[in-house]
Amino acid sequence: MNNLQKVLIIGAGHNDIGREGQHDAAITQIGSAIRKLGIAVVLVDNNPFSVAAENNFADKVYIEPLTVGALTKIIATEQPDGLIPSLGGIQRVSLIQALIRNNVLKNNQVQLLQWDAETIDMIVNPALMSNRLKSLGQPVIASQVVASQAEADEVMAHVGFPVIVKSVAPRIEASRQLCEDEEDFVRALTMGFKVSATKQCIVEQSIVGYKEIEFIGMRDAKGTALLISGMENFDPVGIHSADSIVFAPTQTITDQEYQQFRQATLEIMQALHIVGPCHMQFALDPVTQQYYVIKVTPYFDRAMAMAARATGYPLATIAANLMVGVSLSEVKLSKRYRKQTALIEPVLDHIVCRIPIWPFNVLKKVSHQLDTVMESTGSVIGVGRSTEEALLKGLRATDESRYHVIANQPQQYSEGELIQRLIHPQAGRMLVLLEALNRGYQIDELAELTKIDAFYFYKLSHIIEIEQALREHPFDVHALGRAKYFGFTDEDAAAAWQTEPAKVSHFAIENEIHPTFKEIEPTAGEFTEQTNTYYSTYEYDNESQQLAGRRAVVIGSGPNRIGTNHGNDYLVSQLLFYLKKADYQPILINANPNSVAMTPQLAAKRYVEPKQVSDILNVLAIENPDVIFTTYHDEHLGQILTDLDYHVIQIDNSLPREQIKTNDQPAVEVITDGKDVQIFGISEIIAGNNLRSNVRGSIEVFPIQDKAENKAIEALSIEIKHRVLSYGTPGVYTVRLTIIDEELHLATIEPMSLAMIALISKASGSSVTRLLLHVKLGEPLSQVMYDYPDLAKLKRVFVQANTFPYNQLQIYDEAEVTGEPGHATGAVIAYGATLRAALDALNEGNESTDF
Amino acid sequence: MADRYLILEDGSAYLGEGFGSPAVSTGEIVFNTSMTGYQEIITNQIYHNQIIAFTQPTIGSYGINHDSYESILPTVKGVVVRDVASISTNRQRRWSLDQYLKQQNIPGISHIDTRHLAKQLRASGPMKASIVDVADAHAFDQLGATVLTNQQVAAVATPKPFPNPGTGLNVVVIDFGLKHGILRELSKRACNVTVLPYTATTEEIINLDPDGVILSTGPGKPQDLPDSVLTMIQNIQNRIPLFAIGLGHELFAMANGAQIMKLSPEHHGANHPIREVITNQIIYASQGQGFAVDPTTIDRNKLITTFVDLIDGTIQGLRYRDFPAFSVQFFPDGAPGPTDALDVFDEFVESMQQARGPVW
Amino acid sequence: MQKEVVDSMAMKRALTRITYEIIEQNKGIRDIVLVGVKTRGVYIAQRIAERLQQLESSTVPVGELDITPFRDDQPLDIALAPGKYQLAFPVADKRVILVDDVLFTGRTIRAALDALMGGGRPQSISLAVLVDRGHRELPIRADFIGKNIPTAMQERIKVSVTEVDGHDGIEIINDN
Repeated sequence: MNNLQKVLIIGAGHNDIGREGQHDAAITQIGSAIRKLGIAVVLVDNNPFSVAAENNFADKVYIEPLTVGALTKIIATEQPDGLIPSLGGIQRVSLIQALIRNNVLKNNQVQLLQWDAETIDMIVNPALMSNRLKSLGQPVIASQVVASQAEADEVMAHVGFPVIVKSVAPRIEASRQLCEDEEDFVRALTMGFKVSATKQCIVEQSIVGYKEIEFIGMRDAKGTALLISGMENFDPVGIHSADSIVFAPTQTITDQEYQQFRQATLEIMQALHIVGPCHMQFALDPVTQQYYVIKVTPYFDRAMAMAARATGYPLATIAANLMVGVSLSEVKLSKRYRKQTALIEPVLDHIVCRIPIWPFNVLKKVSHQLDTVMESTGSVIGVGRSTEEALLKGLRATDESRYHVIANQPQQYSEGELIQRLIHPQAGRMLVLLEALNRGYQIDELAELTKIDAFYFYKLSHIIEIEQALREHPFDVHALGRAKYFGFTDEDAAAAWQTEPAKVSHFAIENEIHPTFKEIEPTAGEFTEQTNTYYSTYEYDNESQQLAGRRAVVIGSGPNRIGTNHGNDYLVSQLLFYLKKADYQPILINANPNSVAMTPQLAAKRYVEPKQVSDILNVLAIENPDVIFTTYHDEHLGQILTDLDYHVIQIDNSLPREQIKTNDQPAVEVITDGKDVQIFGISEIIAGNNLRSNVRGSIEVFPIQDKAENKAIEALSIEIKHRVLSYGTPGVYTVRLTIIDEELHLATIEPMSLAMIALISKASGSSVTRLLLHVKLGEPLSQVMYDYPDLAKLKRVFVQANTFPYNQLQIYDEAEVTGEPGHATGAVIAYGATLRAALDALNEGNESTDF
Repeated sequence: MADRYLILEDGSAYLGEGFGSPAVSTGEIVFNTSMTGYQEIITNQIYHNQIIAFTQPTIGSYGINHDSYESILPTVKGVVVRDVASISTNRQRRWSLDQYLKQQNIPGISHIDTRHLAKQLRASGPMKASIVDVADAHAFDQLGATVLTNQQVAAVATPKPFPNPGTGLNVVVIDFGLKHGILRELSKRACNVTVLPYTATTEEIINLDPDGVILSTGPGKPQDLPDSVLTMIQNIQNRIPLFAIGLGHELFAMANGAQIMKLSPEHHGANHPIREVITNQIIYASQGQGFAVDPTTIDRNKLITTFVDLIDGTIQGLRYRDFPAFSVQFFPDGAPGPTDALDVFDEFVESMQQARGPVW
Repeated sequence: MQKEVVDSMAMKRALTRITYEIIEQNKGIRDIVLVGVKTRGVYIAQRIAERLQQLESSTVPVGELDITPFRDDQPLDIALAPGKYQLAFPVADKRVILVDDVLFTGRTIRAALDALMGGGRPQSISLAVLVDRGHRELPIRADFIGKNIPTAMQERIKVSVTEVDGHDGIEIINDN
């Protein structure tokens, strides 16, 4: 080890497109693993929904802006020995680059862990990385700046068609031009030179249509390196890999190709001295087998999260050890894992399919075309024992399965529209592909048209075949058995047989068609590894046995979506954490690979399953829980389970149903056990950061700063309590007030928003979710609140704002840029001695963020 | 596709769907955890007379390629999978796995709970098994009565010498059922290769004036081979640089007094960490072994342990102390599997060059 | 112009093979001491010692030799300067393996032998070099050779070791 006593972790900041919970999930695990080694952890983050920033995952947490200024001060105060650079996404890499350039690390003798300073420059500047890769003999995409047609022709002579022509520093919105022949090329260059401020163009070899392959490697400081997982994009290069459907393990590449990628991954990691995990992206020409390195990502990202979920390899815990200098052979894991698990290259005996979620149903004006710009806000995984099963479970988990289509009605497309959709894919493309097969398009023809490997079309045809057999044979044991074996549900069969799912379920049980659960572990059954993570299939052997003790099933938040459920994962994670403390065995059902709730320490057991009723019932049949928790968005599911006589506690933590206008009307935040009421404090709302004239986001302020108003509200406290009690159920609530004729009156009462739960928890340093859980479990308020900090003594003003994805989604249409809570992807929090200071801190480092 | 059964010696039966050949066949069943390379595994002669169960659930998704054979004729007795893929054939993928197994008269069975099967075999070790149409008492009786041959090497090794010409160093490969990967790596290094049957005598080898000798991989138990093989190794090893792989490694150890033990659980995969003792470096390599050198029987005055499997401590490499003769238990040529150990072939080439002396 | 002729992998292998050959020819490592010729010879000797230790689980002493004062092609005043040669252990009755990066004319080795013999009478002295590039001017040969690299007289051989140069490798440099 490097003789470290204290390390600094810089968090990811507010959630965003491309920044879901994966960083926070990594920090929770890495923070606790490093603490176990006797090294203190200091965490800086300004994400109110950070789970890592609560619950003792770090020794000390700073809720501070993620800026050079703030970090310089923290480093000076804390004097950490090392800095972990890989846990805050690409944005924090630039921040660390600035800290290095300003000598902040050097002056305070802080060691940069995991990477060379040079690597940071290469991450920030892809051209440097490309040169380095070239010097290592790795194939990279040829790309050259040209200033004349003659120069361009020379480049073309080397590269060959097709190429992409881009204008350098264009004065108008100019797109990349794909050129297939000389004519295209000349036209694109003429246009490109004309609009370029420097009269230059970039000519780049086109790899559109190649297979996109992702590999994750792991390396320790001694140079021992191994492969964690290979993954294959269903969609070809040209669609951002985060917007692509991805399978683990690779489905269609040969051993020779696989080993070539493995070797390249490990060689690059060795050459760059990367310590910890690294994500490589490759393009593979399916005809010539030539490959290119597209991207090297040594910081935590969605692919690493997926690799960890897919393999069951304890990636974050092992990475934590490597970061502080422990070698792979020295890593000590819990007894649930076989000795040396850190050194065993994971092998899978299941298939994982990740499917993205897009915000197009809410943000209608954004381009729905899937291309090189990432637009998905979240994703889900389906796990099964066949490609069909993994795919169907994944689709089901998006809530956009064949029977729940919201975005697409492919049956109604004309032939021309269908072909357009095949060539220019949009969200819901799987349905378009199925429709094409239904209409009799040939597999090889579709493979040629879409550049998707024919293998997948055989799988899709098989799905159609099974469904057809199901439709043609109502209540046929063989047809149902086969359908379930390949991933269909009671609901699917009910739709095919025009009956009720309950009847199908009954029929299945009568005929002994039972689900079996298998463990997701990294050795494909070669060794005993207990990850306590399961998925369902229909086979011979069931591996999941009912947990002993009081069992609480928590239905996870599902994929990250804009608005409706961002932050819900924080609530679910906290519920799991405090259920465990309350002596329950918390069991999670969730299919979101980036979810913090999936962190192994939080739940006693995890089921990676979709949230369709029959999927949930399969789990409940095994676990028979004492209580089930559902959160926002799952009210309907909660009701169904209640009707089936399960004890369900619904936590309604919805966002305000209507947009709150920024008219600084105060609100009172309270908790009740149904008999008694306590007031946390009073908040108010002020106008947000108007990057654009019509962004009307809002900032929550806690506690309220107006003394007169404060007094007036105190006078209302009896009435407030009365009102809350008349509302009935235990929980946390927001009571909104309104000014009528210059006097305050009670307006509405609603469940406290997730944002406010997070805000009060961060402000008080003590979890509101814990209180909520205990009053929901029926404990009296006096018992629940006895050690809660007195918020009246709070000396600081906290401010918190939703953040919006308009910039990333390139939405410029004013009508769509409304700043309504339903568009938010995350939130930021800050504090100060005064409101002014708090607002300054909120703005710092968020100058280009809409809130 | 037709319902078929996989039945095991211990009385268990798995219902599945037949593919490949409709033949009934019997062999020893083992499970392999490799993520890729089913074609290389099926055609590896170490699996002669065995039935291979793949834990990777989808098998066959990239067909059969002309450059991925590890032998000309596969002699496995069956292929057990969860799911066999349908594919379009083209120039690279000349056959589907199903077509290929039909051609080669090898039965396959899909829709098997291969995870459960692997866990069962992990506990029991390899068993006799059959792929049959009916899992009745008769089938189990037949299975119980079947005696599997112990003459695997004789069945798969070349009966006659053949050349694999090159312009470089002169190498004799003694064939015990060799993997093509060995010849591929020697070709890459321009070696002029003569493959001799495993019955080759010391004199026949010496007469070819080789710069080095390779003892190849092969199937079965090394103790089942004639003692003359050990004598040949003893005569060659101190005269000509020697490199032994897989079964060859086990024979090299035996020729130098070590004993071979049954390995349980067996190694069939490519994901175990293997430590190179001299550098302390950890590598990954393809493994297929049911036997291992018993470390307690090694004469430390003769042999040095050069590679060790970090999972169970099995010996993965040996070297004679007094002359350039060395061996590895794993398959350094990969095919399928990691390329980490490819440079063992360079080590062999350099040993031969060194033994020849400088070129000027 | 420079060209890498041995990469880090091949260099690693060469050191491994030299180590095995030392064991082969000495029938073990009893009485063996390694003496590296400064600068790169010392690092090469240390790596061989580490390898011997891995294989035989016992330590082999490594000494350093600065032969600058002993070179016969150095100006007289330097050659006559008091020897900086120092070993932390006696070589009398030991089997000394002298280690250098490149064997060229043989003059360095002759100087090293002079220095060594001045420190007592070893049982034997043998020579291990990473590269033998030919063009000997004295009747000296190496017992253990990592790589024979035929060179032209005007070419230079550059051996890089991580400890000094940041990476491992051998290059041929042609100044023309």
